[in-house]
Amino acid sequence: MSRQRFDSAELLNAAGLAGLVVVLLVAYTDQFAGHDLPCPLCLLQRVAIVGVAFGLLLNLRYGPQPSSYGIMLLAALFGMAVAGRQVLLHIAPGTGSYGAPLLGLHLYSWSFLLFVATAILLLLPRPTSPVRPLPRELQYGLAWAAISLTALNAVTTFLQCGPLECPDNPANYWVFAR
Amino acid sequence: MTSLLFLLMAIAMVLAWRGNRRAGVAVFALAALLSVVWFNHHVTDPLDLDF
Repeated sequence: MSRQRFDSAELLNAAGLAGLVVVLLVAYTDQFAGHDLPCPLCLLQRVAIVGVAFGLLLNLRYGPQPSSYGIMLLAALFGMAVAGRQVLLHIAPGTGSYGAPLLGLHLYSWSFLLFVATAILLLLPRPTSPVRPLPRELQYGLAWAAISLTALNAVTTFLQCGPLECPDNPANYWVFAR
Repeated sequence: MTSLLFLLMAIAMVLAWRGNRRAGVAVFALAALLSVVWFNHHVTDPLDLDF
């Protein structure tokens, strides 16, 4: 009996989606355990992460397609622009920073590197050898984890910012400050 | 407003995962467009750079 490998493109999409789920969980840990409320640009970086996750989810559901990679690339470029903007806000000495650093870098710096890495990973080739699909349960679990975290972000962002815009330097939740 | 972006993204994901790829991508496109508008709205602080 021949042992077929997993489709490396599918495996990479699943690993990418799992990685982004972890990134969103780390952001939540920082927000709730570290009491570090996300700023408007931080939240837009999360939106970009969710955008990349949407492209990965499309690839898992429908198989790798150029348009799904295009969506991921667009989202990564948007995230790079937002994170790059925030890095530039704090790049000059004496301009301070936002939030606590993680492993020596602030979250917006990690975010910028993550989006650059996403764009680079899209260059990896796809094998032509026989492959077998990933377990269905794994695909469903990852997809619904990403969907649940996105919906949860909608709720917690509303609790923090309300229906309009977040303050530049949020100190408390909109819902508790009323 | 930012919560609306997450909500639209979640709807796009659910639509796409449940088999309606075209509608999912359409909702994603709307969310992406609004994200750019919202980013532009927030990019108001001058950068403290001196060359």
